[in-house]
Amino acid sequence: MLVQIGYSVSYGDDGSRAVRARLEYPLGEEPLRWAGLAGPIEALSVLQTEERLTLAAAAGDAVQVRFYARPSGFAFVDADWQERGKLNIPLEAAPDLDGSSRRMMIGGNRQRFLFVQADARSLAVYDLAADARLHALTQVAGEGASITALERLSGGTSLLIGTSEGALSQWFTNVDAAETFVRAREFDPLEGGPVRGIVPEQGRRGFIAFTDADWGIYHSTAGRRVLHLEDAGIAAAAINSRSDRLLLNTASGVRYYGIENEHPDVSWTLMWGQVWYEGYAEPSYQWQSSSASSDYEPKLSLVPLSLGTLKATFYAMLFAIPLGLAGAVYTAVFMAPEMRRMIKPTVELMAALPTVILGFLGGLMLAPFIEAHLPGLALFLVLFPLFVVLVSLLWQWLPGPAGSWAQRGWTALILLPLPVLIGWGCIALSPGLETRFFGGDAPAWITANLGISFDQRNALVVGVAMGFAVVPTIFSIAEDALFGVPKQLISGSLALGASMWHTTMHVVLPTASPGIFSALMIGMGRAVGETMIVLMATGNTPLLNFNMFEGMRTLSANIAVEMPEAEVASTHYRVLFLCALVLFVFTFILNTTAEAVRQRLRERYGSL
Amino acid sequence: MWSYLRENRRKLVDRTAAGVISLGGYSVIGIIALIFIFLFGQILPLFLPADEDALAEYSAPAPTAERVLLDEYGQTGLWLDAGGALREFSGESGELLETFPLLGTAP
Repeated sequence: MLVQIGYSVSYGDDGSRAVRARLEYPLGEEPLRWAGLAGPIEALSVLQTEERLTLAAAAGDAVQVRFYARPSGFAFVDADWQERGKLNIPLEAAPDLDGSSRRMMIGGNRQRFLFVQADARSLAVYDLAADARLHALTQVAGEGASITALERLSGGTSLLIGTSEGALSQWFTNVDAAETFVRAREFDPLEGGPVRGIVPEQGRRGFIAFTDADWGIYHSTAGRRVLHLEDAGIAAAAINSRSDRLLLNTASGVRYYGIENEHPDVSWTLMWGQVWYEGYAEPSYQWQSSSASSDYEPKLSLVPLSLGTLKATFYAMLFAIPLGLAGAVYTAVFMAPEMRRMIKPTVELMAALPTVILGFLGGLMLAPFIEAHLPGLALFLVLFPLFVVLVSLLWQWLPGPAGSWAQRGWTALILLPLPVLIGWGCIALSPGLETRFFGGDAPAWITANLGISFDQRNALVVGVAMGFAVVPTIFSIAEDALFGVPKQLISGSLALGASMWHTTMHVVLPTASPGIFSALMIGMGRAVGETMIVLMATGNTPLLNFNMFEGMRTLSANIAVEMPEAEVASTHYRVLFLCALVLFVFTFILNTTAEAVRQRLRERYGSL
Repeated sequence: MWSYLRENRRKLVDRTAAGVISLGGYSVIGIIALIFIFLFGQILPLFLPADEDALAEYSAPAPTAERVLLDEYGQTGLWLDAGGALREFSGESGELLETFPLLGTAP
């Protein structure tokens, strides 16, 4: 007979609440008969979800498993369970269990596994989805110890095992990995003899474990003991689903506790270390805070997010520093004043572009374009510097009017068609190159031959799009600093016979170095905190690599994506604030270092 | 005379401007500090240790306990003893509310 407890809550006139239990019989009020099992039932286990119910009973030398199903959904509120099948699994008749009765548990994802105690130290795992094939037979307790408690963790995937030595460990089945039933972690052991019982919390991965004289509240994902107390003769424990009331049956009577334990699921290792999550082949850094299923184990590692922030910043700076700085040097030192008056405001106008628009252009236009013209782009990166060298060689031999234009600083205008032409040529060549060398699909070729996966929205796109946001900042401040270098210094250097290039490298740049440095740091600060561009152009996958063809998720984009859906004051919500704090600390350290370096540079070159 | 007045006004404007600018600077620093404090306040509960508070103590509803349950609010408890009787009791006071003989025999 299966008894389910329902609760009816009523409120009195004075607002007081009364909760009364109500017994329900999902499988009928008649006792269930276990035909085919002999002898008294030693162990029972049941696991139920909306649509599936699995029931197992062990007696003598066999286990019988019964499967029930019911239609679920809106139109079928509390439909009746229909029996869908039965399985009989033979067991060893009288194993050596160190005097205790046999323990058994249904568990695993979608009620797939049956865990039965095979002897005092081992569990047999049967795969119910494959005709109860023996999936694993694993020793779970140390030599000389025996299993004294077996419980399912919330979510049903993990098993908690307590031993006669007070040790506690978490186990789960791994379908893909070579090892089929693995110990994910070991918890701080309890004192006072064998573990008497384990009571899982509902809705989160916490549990209470107790021995005769010692009890503690644990959290599995965080891998820590959040509360540890002693008592005498503990025989039973219960916790409510809100995890704020605890009942303990001790030798001196029942103790009723109020528990304040809002965030047991956060620990230093969880956020910054490798954690072995349920169903994973090995410990890893993961960020995956929520899911549609309530059985889900939140993964809150800040490592991929921090790395994503660094990655986005790195690629953006890789694009923006050469462009911004070289542009600033040319504009300040070499360019004709009339041209400079047009160029500078134009570049500064770029800073006024809303980042949403840059992100939109990056994610929806640049990303598909790069994906389609990858070989052309690579060709451009190789050809362009070669052409620059080639053209400057040719320039030297060019006589007459071109030479005088160059002296007056109009070279840029004359050379402007060059990158446009090369770019256009490379893009035009791209499809041919792709067919000829990359089998018609460059992204697939990269994945197959270089072993690097390719996403359409990747670090390259973000580098370019965010580079565009950062270039005006770097350009503008660096140009101001370079232009502000006293003219008498430059004239003096030229009068002593140094060339313009020599003067720029050895006089102008060092004198302007504090300003250039602040330009870089302000640009970098912008890239670190940038939200909208990375949000729209990265794909927001929290990956842990520096591959330029894959996306990332940054701290700031993560806050923007998840904050609207985080429950206020929940762990997830607070961890998002922690993301903000980490970002704050990042920029704080960056800016403080930058300011210190700038002061030193200024002391060194300020006297000039 | 006029130049003296103009000089005075210039000094006043100068000092006001300097005051406003330094006030601006200090308030920026102050606001950043406040942001930091706010962030810190939001995060602090993550690192607070768990705490327990003994609310009540009473004698057990039955001598043996196979399984004990609490409802969502922790207000009503259920106690299953080895004899198959399920006792409903108040979690706060231990007062017995009802007994369900699950095995068909009254306790």
